[in-house]
Amino acid sequence: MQKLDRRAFLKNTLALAGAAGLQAGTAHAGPKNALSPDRMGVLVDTTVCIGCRNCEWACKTAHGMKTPPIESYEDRAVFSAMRRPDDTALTVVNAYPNPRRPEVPFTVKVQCMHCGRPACVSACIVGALSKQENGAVVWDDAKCIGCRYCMIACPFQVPAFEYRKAIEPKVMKCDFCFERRKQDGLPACVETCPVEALTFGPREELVRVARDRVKRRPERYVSHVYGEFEVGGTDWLYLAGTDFAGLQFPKLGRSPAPGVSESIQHGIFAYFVPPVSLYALLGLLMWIAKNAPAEEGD
Amino acid sequence: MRTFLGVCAVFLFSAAGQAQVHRRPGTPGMSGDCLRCHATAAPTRERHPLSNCPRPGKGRRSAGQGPGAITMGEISDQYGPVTFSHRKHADMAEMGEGCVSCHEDTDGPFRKCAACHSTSRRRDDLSKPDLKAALHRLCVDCHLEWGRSTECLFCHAPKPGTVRADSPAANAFPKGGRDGALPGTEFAAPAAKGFPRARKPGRLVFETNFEGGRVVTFFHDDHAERFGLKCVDCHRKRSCASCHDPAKAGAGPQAEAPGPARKTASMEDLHRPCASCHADDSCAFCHRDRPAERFDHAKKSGWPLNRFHARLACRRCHGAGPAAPKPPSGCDACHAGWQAKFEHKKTGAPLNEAHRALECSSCHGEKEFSAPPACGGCHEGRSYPKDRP
Repeated sequence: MQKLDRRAFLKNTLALAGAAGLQAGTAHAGPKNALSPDRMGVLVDTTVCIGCRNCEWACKTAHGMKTPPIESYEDRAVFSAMRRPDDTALTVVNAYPNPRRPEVPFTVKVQCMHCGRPACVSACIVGALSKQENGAVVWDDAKCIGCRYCMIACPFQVPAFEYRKAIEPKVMKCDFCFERRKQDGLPACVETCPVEALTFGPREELVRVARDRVKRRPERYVSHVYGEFEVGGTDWLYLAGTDFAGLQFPKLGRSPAPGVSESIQHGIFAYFVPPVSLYALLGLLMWIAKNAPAEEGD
Repeated sequence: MRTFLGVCAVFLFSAAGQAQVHRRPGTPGMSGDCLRCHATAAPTRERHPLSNCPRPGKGRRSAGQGPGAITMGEISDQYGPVTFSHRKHADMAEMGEGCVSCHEDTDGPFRKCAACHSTSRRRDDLSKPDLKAALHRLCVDCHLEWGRSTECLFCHAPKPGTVRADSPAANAFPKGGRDGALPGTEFAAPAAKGFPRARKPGRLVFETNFEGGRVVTFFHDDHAERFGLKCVDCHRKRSCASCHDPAKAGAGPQAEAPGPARKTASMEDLHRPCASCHADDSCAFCHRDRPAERFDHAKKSGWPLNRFHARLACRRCHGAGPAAPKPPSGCDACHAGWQAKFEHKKTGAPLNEAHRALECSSCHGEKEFSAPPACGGCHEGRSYPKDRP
């Protein structure tokens, strides 16, 4: 993880700070084209999901992670406890009671939402996290210094850290199958889903499809496409048959998560004017204080 | 030139098809229900887009008309083909929405699912699920409800060289498909796979708020087994798990304890299943003050059923409809020429020496055998079945 030594890091930081100072007014999280209209996303229809957890198996297999055999995922006893994505599983499926059909609970797949304006990217001080043009928010192990700010910043508490590893621990999160998609493949979970509860496509098209489903089947869906506007819009979108609060989705505003922090950072510290002014003021006070006793000593 | 002829042929054929569609009886000219085939309510000659699944009407179908078992395996990559017992599922679907529980529409010939649903997950039209998902959704919607399981190998046969080939469940799979089923044949429900047999309650006692008699006793087993009713005759729009419930499977006759009638259902809904047969019965026929006793043929008719007759459905002797007091089909239907070798003791009432010498009509007036015999002609104050000959 720490490929940079201290000296090189400080040098980079100073260089970055200088560059940031020069163009602070236009600074953004990630590359400029991150919010291209044709970026891809996934629509998760929780009313279609059957909780087979094949996506969990496919995710681990695609990422070369250790996994028990696929038939062990048919065990539905895991639903008795709530689970979160962690360093051993980038996605998990949870079940919630369905009052209308008690035999068929609501099942919800949880993973990185791949925000349009990701808080983790904004919080990362070394640019290890970035929003890619194809919608993926990816983590670069060559740059990460292990500060774990991304974990604090994420409004969905998704990034996980390999605490169990003493050497080269990684920040683990769904990477939207960045490597597979480079070879024109589908994300592993989307490909394996037997009922296509996960629909992969251009985000704008998915929003249209989601709204259409809600309109056609108002008795099946709540009229809310989660992720359409939450934290400025996420590339993974959700449909549900019950209120999202009941499925443990955080209630979030429409403004992007990094909005406030970035406006403070890029406002108060813009062009280095406030720190320079502060030091100038302190210098002036020191200069006045230095001259004052000489007058009194007369 | 050849291309031109081809285009002409296609044009002619499609024009003929269109004319045929529009000349259907019931839709003279083009004034029928346009939305049946077209995506717009007012198609014009220039603009007449067809809807996704246009299907000119050819009458409704019944479950029995469908195929028996069918094999589906065109798109399977991870598994072997699935043998689907179509007719069994169609029978069950009669209790729900019928053919349309799975098929888009029951009018006319069904289109192949693949005609609308893409076989590729990567596609432009995201409004419909792909073929694999569309098929799975149909099956899983019910299978998950009663099975509470998403076990793939319940339906799929494992395929060599795939992730599932080595799983223990795959090795337990019978060679040649589940239950050795062959295409075109039906197979038994896979009880070994945990398929819950339909729950068959015995006596059900309902509490109602009817003043004239609060307790209604319903003998579910008698209605289902003796009176010859089919499930679909009473049960409509029910979930699979309401009968095929693994949590309650094998519990046998149950619900003996009084339970309240469904409060949410309207009075019409509660009475509808009974009304088709019991329309002429009084309220007191069902509504009593205490749970009713089971029907006893010996007590009611004085003719106890022997072990052979006890197994028969009522209608075998009493004809269709509500059990008539007199067996209209008589005994001749099964016992042709019974009079020649008749032994009176077979009726359950063996005769003593004195009675054996009598003519039949001495007791059975005008040879009316369904009525109780008249003892009063010879014995003052005696009657059958209280007194035996």
